[in-house]
Amino acid sequence: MANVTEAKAPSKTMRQIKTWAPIFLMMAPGLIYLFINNYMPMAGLVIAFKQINFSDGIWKSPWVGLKNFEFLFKSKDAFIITRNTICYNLAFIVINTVLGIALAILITDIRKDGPRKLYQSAILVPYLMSIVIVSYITYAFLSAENGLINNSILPLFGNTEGVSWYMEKKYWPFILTLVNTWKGIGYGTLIYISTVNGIDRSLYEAASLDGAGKWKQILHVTLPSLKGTVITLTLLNIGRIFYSDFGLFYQVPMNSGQLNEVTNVIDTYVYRSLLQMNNPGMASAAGFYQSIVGFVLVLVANLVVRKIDADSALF
Amino acid sequence: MKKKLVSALLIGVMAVSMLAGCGGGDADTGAGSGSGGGAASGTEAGGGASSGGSGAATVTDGADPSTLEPYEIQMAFVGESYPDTDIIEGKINEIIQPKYNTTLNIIPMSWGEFTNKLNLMLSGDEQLDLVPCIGTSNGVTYLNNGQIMDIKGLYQTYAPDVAGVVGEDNVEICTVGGKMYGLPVYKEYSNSAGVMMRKDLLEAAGHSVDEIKSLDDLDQIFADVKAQNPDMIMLAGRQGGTPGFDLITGGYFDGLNDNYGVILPDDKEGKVINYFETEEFKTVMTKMYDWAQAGYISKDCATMTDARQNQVKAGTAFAYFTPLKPGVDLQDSLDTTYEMVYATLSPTWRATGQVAWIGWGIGRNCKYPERVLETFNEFYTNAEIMNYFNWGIEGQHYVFVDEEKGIIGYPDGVDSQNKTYGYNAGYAIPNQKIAYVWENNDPSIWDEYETFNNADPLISTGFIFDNSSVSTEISALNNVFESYRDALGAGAVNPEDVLEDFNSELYNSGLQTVMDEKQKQLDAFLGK
Repeated sequence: MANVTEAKAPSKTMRQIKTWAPIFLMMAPGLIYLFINNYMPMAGLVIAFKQINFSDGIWKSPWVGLKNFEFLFKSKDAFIITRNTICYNLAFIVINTVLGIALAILITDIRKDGPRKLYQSAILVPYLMSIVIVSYITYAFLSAENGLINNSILPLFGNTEGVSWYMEKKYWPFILTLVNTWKGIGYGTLIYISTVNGIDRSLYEAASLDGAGKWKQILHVTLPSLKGTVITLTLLNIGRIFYSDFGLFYQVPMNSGQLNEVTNVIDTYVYRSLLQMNNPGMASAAGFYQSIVGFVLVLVANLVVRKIDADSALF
Repeated sequence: MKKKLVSALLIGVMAVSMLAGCGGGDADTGAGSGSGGGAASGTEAGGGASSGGSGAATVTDGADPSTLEPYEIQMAFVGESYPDTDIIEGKINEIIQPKYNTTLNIIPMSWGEFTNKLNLMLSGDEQLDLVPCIGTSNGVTYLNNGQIMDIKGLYQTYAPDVAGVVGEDNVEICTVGGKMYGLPVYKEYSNSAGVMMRKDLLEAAGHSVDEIKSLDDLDQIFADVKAQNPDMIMLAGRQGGTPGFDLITGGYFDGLNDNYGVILPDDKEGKVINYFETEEFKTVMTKMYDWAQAGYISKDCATMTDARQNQVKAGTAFAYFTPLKPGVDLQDSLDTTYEMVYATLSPTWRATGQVAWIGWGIGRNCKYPERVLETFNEFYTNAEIMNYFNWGIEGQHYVFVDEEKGIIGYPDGVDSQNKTYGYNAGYAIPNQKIAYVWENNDPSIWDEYETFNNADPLISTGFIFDNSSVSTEISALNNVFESYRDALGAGAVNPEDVLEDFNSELYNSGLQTVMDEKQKQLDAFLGK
């Protein structure tokens, strides 16, 4: 920066360029990467409106308007998959936030270093596990012939018939939520732990001097301090509410067709319908639909947040 | 203490589930898998078939092949990747390079990945010359997407010997809307469904296959075998291949690509009907339900991923429904390690789905389709190439068991686990009958093929449905079909309760539109 001031009477703009040039230079690789990786492929969205013919190429293929979108809305599936996608994700957001915070508070309150670190790491293990392994762990519990629940747990309650878990729709909303929480809770907890650790200790001291017990401290110190993190994480999650964890909804129910009504989400629906079809137009249409709705949801959620608490809004 | 117990339990569950994970992932190889590919009474067949080609005008005719630009043919092939593939390519190149100045490069793909990998290669700018279109709907889609070429005007000139090998009736089977997407190979051409059983258990229960004439005859057999082996499952099945659907799709009707609107074997008019509404469908599915209630079908059937043969091999299952072809009992005996016998449960008829099970197409980025076809034509008639391709090199990958009859087997110390080459994929290579036969196969197997392949065709045989105008409906139908298929086929639900819903959902998703379109195209095919 010293050079800038020593230069001979540079014009104001030149000086500004000189000041900021290194910073722009630093940004350049990131910007170029973003442009190539995230913006250029957007041109491919036209595929959603075309009947692709590979020997003519993307641009010369005929336009078909909204025909590629029809299959998403053709049957009652459109309602089911949209309902499942949104409801599951909403439930996941709420449960993972509430439980994540609760666990974070509990873990940070452990006095001894050893156990605290152990719990902190142990809770993250399921998150690092491949969903295929998770699906087989679930299968080990639920298999109709050899599963732990049918063979060891239900007989304790006098049910020797067993339940055909992979055939019965009614249990799956709970099973999927349970599995998702078990698998995903560690990651959220970790973020909340770091936020809780970052809260100024003196606030707690002041609170206890004022006679606040543990519960009051959590209510009036910890939770308000977590607000920013919660809002940011929730907004990010809402942006992805139209995307679902494909592995969770496809692998964990073992792709059992009978459960489709409660396990089919947009991603699995598209995968199932297009697996045999090899139709890039329809696949792009589904992706396009997801992006647009996701984008709108983020805007709306942010708008709501801004109305309530302008400081916490993303933009 | 309690905590310790819980964690010990969890660890146990994890260990078990990881083992379970290793068992899965066995790809179903569709119409013709395994070792039945066997081969032939020798080279004299090749000489006869190739005689037709000499008169045609070809690219290389009259010109010295070495003046042509050298061209490497990229050939995708579904099978394992063997370390000695390069050596085999070299051997084949020694034959084709002097004649056509082309060389061969095999791109192996596993059964699990080939659909995606092929799609990807055909969507980009990659050069892919020989494309295996497996299943008619794949071929039609590739053609409609412009991913492969129409070879109708080319094959007669540049691949004149194919008709002699596969038969005049069959050579243009891969034709849709007047365009041809691929060349068929010599394989089994007819549909026929049957039940395959362990011979030892069947005889121990005091029965023989001759008693089995219909599905109902199996009741008594299953009851007796089950009584002697209470822990066994009578009918093996897997996700997407449940007993009920294995049986009906094996030969009860011509599904016209996708089973949404079918032709029955005794239909002489060509009327497309919805099979899921028929009494026959209800009877078969009710049978599955009864059998599942009796414990003959596993409750886990719809979520299992192990191949049926492997379930028999593991000793947990007694029988399964399977498509039949000559030598299938031998093939399955090798796969299951038990001696297997079968009984036929459906009529036998020549089926589009079998003849056109694989069609070798030419990729759109192919630079010299004519020369690729010429080279490929050589594959149909040159026994040496077929032997290299399917079995490898004599002394290294196989040895003669009986040289006179052309029967071969593994050299000492080589088996299916450690072999370094050998696709053994007679159902996918151009002409398996001019190659050698693997040991244990009957040398007269090609006579049996001849009879089997000449079964009467249905009225719809030869017709391939172009689904491009109803793709929206088909994708919706796929979803409905999948939510009922395995539950019905594994007997997990009572057809009485669900068939009505199943059909009304199919109609709501556009079944009638698809059937109308099929009828229209079929009528055009029949010249009505």
